[in-house]
Amino acid sequence: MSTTVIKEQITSQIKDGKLKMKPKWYFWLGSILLFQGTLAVLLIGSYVVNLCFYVLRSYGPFGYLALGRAGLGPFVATFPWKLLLIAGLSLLIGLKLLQKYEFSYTKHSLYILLALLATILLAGLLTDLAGFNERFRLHRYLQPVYSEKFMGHDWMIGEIRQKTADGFVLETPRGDMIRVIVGKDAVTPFGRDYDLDKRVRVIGEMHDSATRSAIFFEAKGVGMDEGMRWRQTKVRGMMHSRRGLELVK
Amino acid sequence: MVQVSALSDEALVEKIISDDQELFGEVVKRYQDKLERYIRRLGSSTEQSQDIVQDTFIKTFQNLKSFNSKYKFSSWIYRIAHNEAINLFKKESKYQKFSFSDWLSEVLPSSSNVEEEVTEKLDLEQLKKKLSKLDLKYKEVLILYYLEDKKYKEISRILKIPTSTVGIRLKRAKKQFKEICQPQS
Repeated sequence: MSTTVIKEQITSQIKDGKLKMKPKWYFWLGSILLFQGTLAVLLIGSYVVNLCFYVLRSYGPFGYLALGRAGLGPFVATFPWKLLLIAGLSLLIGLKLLQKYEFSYTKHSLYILLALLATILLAGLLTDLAGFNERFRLHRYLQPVYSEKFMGHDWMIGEIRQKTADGFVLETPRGDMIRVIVGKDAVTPFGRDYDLDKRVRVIGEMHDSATRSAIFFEAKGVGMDEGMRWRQTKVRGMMHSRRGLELVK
Repeated sequence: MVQVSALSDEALVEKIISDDQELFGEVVKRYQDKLERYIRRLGSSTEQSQDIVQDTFIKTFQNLKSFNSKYKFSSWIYRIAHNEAINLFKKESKYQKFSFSDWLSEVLPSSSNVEEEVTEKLDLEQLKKKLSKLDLKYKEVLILYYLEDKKYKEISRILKIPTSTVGIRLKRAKKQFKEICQPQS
């Protein structure tokens, strides 16, 4: 095809109105949508990362790993897998969106990804540190996001209210009093000298025995919950404080 | 009144948008041969390259209002052509079918001597074989730098890669080519 032919074809299409320029607003709209999309992804990513920090801080899934193989179940149950997956997805979508910006090609994709990761991590951490989660969890519409993970089929968190000959009585965050029997073979990395009001995590098996006349929990492992930080927030009759979990009488 | 042919690309685009859309024919005149040659060098057939060029002009015209006159128009239109070509290659899985025949025939001077011509042709065939082994990402940088006379910054804009990457790829392209050319032990 000679230059003249292609030139004529194109100009005749322009003359006939078959070939039209896209209007300026079309590109403006694209830019606005791109900006909004990027912003939304950044906000979602930051919020989800903030939730990850919150879950790790509140439920301490890694604490279960100290209790041996039996601690794997509760670890898997309390670790924020889904949140991490969403955070990863938002990171990838964010990267794809940022790559559409004019400036992006001058920077290596890895640097953009690292900058994005740092931004989301920092924003998430700051949001969590600022205590937003403690406020958000009281919100009616956000409560499903903050579903509690204090108790499972074979694990629970609570405070020691009474010491017994074979263990202790544990008060769960929901206010249930459960007798915990610590067997001789139980894993106790922090020793068996339990202080009253100490916050602990136990793994084992729940029994509803007729002979013992009440529900009891046979512990296969007892771990301390040192290091967790809960802020002052009244939730479902509980007071969460920096020191630990205090029940509102 | 300023002659259209005397206008810079960027000024011409401004004029097309604001005054006369039919002036786009001048853009076609300026770039058809260049783009066709570039696309052929990337590995497409003559017929295919003409189709790609036509699509490139259509896309260029449709998106002309998104062109930022702060930048060079030539980089922008090369970028569109490059994308069109790569998309077609991907569609037809022709990444490997890189043809250097047109390129080499342009690069190497034609000889008047028959004997020289035969030797040249033999060398050409061997060279073609070796060059076809280069990765596409290295070929495109080589073509743009050595044959299209583009500067690092322009290549960076066309291929949408950082300027430093252009330099790295050029270096690696030369190294890879050298390795290909070395006789196998």
